[in-house]
Amino acid sequence: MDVDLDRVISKAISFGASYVDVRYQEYMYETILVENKFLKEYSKRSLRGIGIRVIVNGGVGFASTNNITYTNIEKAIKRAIEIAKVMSFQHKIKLAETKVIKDSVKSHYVILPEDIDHERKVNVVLEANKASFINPDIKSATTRLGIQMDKRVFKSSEGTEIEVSVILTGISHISVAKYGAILERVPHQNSYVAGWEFIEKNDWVAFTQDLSNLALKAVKAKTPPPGTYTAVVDSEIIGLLLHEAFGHATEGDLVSSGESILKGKIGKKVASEVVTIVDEGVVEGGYFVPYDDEGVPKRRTVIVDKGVLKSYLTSRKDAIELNMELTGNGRAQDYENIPIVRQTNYFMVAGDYKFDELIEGIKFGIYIKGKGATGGQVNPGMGTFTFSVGPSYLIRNGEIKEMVRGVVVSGYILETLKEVEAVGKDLVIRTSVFGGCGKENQMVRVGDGGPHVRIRKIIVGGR
Amino acid sequence: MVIINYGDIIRKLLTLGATEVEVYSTKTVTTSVSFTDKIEVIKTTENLGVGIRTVLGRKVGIFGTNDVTPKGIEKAIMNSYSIAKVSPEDPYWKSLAKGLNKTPVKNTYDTKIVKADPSLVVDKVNETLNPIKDLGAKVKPVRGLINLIVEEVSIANSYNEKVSRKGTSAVIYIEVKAEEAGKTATFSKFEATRMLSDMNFEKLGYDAASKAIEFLNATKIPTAKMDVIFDAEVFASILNVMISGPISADWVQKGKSPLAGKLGKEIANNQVTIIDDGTYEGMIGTKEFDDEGVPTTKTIIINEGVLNSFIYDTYTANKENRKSTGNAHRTVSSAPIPLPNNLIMKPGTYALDEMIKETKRGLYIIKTIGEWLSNPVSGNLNATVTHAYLVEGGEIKGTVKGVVVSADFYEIIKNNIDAISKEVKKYHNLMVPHIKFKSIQLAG
Repeated sequence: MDVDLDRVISKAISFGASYVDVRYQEYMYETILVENKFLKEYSKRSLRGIGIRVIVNGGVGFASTNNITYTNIEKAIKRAIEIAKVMSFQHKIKLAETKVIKDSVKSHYVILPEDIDHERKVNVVLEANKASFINPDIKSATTRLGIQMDKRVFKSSEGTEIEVSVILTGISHISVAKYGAILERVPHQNSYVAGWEFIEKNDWVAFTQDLSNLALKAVKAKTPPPGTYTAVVDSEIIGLLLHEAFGHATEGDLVSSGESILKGKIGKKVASEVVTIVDEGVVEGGYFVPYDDEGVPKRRTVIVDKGVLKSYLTSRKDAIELNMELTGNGRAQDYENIPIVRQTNYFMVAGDYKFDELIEGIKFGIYIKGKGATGGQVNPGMGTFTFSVGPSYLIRNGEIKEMVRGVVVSGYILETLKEVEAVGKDLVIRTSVFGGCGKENQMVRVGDGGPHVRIRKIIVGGR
Repeated sequence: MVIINYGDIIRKLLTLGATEVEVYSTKTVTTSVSFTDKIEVIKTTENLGVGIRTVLGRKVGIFGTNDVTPKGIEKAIMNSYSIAKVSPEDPYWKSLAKGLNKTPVKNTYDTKIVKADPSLVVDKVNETLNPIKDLGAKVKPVRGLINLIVEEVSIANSYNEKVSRKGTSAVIYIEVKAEEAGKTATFSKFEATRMLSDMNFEKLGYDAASKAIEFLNATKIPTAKMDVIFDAEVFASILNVMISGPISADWVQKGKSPLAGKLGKEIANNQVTIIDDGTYEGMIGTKEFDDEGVPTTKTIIINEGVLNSFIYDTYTANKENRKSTGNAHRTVSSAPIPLPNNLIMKPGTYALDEMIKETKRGLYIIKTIGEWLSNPVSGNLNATVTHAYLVEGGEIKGTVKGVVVSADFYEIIKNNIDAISKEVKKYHNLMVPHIKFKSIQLAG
């Protein structure tokens, strides 16, 4: 890095700021897309810039630039100061106290993706795509490689100085199968905070062929009879449910604005007593968030403890407004955006049940799976959710039976969490280099998951 | 100002063995304010981006970056070159755009936006909020955003000297919630203009709040077939989803467009004339040249119901041995594709009032959601109506929400058009009249 951030901070102080933080970022995203056995797109995007947040008389100002010369940075500082002065008459804020930290952290990797030549990268994706055409009924297949390198430097006038670098890699694939006039598509992805070694050590041919097999079976499967089911859901679905339908409602800014259904529920029972939910910055399988974008350590935050709501997620501003502990959840998409309250890795803590014990005793139910899920919609104000899940299985007399497709589940999250009867041992958390979580036009990487879970009642609609 | 030396980049790549090179750059300065009933955040961002397209015979590589330091540019040059090397041959590749130039356009650059400071955006927020406050405690702005944007685009390639253009825009989104006696309703307004003076902040705030109040008592209606008047803003959004892709030569050539093979054929009622015009005064999509440096033009898409032309960028035009229509759109890290500049539909002869008066039983729809879930490939139009007026005996009898409109878009624009209004509204990069269709399926 060739910018002296201390110089930027002292400049802002000399212009009248009582607090300054500077975020410098270098980012690179590389994607290779292969469609039906041909390289369709190879593109790279890189980003480098600086964001400056200042407080003057309680007003916050923010400005950013990627034109990194001192004259230009000085202009950005002046813009931020000018904004802060105007804001001090509009809306004053305070930042919660936090410890001064000096640290530099890198996520674990063995091989830098930059050191691998372009041709080798293309070949991995081409091979995996070609191999997925296992049968003439596979009509189309798309495979994508994603590599993200993100370096963030945070420095504040309070003395905190943190550098975090993360490498995230992964491959996604969609197989489309045809049976008669019916088309069924099964998408899935596998990402990990790691270098190129993650791509090398995984069998991507097996990965895409598995999805083709699933698509071939799913296209012939029936939709389940609509109704209320006892369900066993896998880690991907419980993760999706918690993140979307519950996690957002625990975000401090939505609590203080009154949008969240969980406002005023601290200390109250919001789930059955077997449910414990955690947001944690660094965890196996998840994204890597040792610190947030306000220089606050992101440790383990217990949100729900044995069914009781214990905490919301906070940024430095919202911790003051809610009079709660700082949890290290002030995150920004990039240097161009101001940190807002976001989840990191949000998941349900493992229980004692083996998978067989979860299935046991279910006379007629459904095993809901995430692989092949296509999305959903949530209203955090109402607490309702609808998800279109992957090919799933009916459970009859304690045994997993025929596959069903086109499954849509819906419900009220608070009711659904109270119906959780048993929690499995097998915790899995996943992240993605292809997606993330969007809020107020900012996208950040997150992780989510949980163990297999048995839910007494969930609404299943067939398409 | 960072100086990007276009000539140096091009020369360097030609020396490395490139047969053609193009440099595309953007500079965007945005002043942005988010607000509820008070201002939440004001920020300014400045963003420079450079995209390099390198051609090796028929292999094309693209690299986009916003690192515009000499080191960053050097990296971009090498990356675009090595991506081109591993890319497959494109049998249809002919050449980059030739003859970069400008079409004169009016009212696309507002110095008031260029000079915008934080106190100006505070004023604009207050202009928006004041009429809402005047309506009392039952209305509350729940989300608001104003962006003032200045954008510069420059393009040079191995055939042409650099061309540059500057433009401004003002964008607002405001959503207001009304609450009374346990009932709630919301209404939102969105608008984008080139000139600050074209944006009436006060009216937008007032409209959002008063409509939210008006819809507190909105009811659901049962499934029925009815006459439907789409407000111009709603129809603009439908038109954008349903035809922007299908009229693009990219979709047509890939076999994705339902309009492929229909040139010269009647695809709509003869009252329907739609043009794409990148030169129209003061519209959001108006500019001197497209994202390849080709001057923008006016293209008649549908002429009195007959499909007349598709829209092209250089690549799709080269494939058919014709000229680009100046419709290339891109980001710094992606290849251009043809998309509409401004879609303009010719007005009709009716007044909106007359269209309502002549409706025995129907809906006048002023807002929908989820029209983006419609399928432009099959022509299957789907939208959930969140705000509509019920019309009975030529008069507005109440407010309606939560009905789903389903129709075959090509069927209704051919056979169901009853009237087109003489009034038109601008909505983003579209300008369209209100339109009435006979007998549309509604699911309650």
